[in-house]
Amino acid sequence: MIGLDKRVAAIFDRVQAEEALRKKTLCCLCGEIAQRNGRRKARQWRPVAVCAALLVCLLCGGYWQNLYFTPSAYIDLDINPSVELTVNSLGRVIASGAYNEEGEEILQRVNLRHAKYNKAVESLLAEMDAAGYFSADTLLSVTVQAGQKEEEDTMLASLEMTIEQCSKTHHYDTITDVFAVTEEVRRCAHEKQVSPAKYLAIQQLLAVDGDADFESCAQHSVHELQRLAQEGRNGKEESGTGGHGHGRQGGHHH
Amino acid sequence: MRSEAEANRAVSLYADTVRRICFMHLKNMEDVEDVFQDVFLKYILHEKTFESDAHEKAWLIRVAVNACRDMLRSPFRRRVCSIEDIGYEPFYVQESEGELLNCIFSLPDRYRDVIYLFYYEGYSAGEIAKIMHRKENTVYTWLNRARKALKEQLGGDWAG
Repeated sequence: MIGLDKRVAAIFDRVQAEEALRKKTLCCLCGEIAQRNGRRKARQWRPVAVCAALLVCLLCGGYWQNLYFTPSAYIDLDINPSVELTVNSLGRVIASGAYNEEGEEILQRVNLRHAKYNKAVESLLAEMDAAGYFSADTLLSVTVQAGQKEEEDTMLASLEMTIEQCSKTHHYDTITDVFAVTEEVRRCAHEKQVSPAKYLAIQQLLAVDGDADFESCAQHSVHELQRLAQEGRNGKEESGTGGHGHGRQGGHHH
Repeated sequence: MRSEAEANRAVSLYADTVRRICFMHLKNMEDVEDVFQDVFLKYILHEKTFESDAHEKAWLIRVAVNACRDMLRSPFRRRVCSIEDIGYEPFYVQESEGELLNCIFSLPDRYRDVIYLFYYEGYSAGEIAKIMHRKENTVYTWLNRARKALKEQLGGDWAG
């Protein structure tokens, strides 16, 4: 009688892995190995890709930050509080400054940073109105200085509309003067610590009044300076000495 | 992960062993293919080094037994595999051996495993205990019960 081990062996010896099964399995295994090796190689490059993406983000971020905080235009408002808004190419206020104490007080009460320039002007006008600066005989001078002519024109049109809207909303009847100034005028005005509108008004007065000096003129409002200049011109005409005529130096009305 | 050369070597050395374990547990060629590939896939993904060829073979046996059990327990297989699909695999077995094979197939899974490992692979009870993660005494018990069952079924043909 044959032992159980030999009988079991006789059965299981016949059971062998089919050639097709071996080949199919090897094919699967090779495919899996190749795929995983590919993934491993891709994983090896992942830190490099992440670093590159971060670098691109940083560069783009830096570029946008630089673009955002680069001044593109300047808006100066002068009624007696005299303030200046620095605007970027997106039309957002990135800085604001005052030429006098009244201007500083107004700026302390409003937050204009990152606001659209016409919204910022709207807020400033509302604040000035609340402080009682608007009356029928006051002059609101608004000047714009932008690098691009098109941008300047757009801003002037938008500001005129905003100011008109504000005067209707708040029911004040102030004379408004909105015009563009050259970079040279703004630079000179800054040197003298006055707004471009006041700087031009002082220049007009100095042209007709040889006794006047810049510092004493700077104490007056733009409206007063224009009135004094007009009086000076009238006086000169009366005395027959002639004058420079009406007009601004360095500024051009919109 | 192991290389293609290692995969080739393992398949050429252990394909028959894995196939026999599949033969004992599975009656459906599709299941056999799935388990067979799964076992060798686990092998190529196994990062640890084997102490010896014997250790490697024992590991593959253990993985194959578990894979067959998982396949049989799979709820998906239970749903999709009808009784008609199940039939003995196309291996030619002599009539004299057919009775013994039927007896072995009638044994519970774990008894079948110990019969195969003890009588065909030549492992001792201690070695089977290590492979199956059981106590040696348990393996002895299973062996004795399997032999007893075979003796009862085979009667005069028994020669344990």
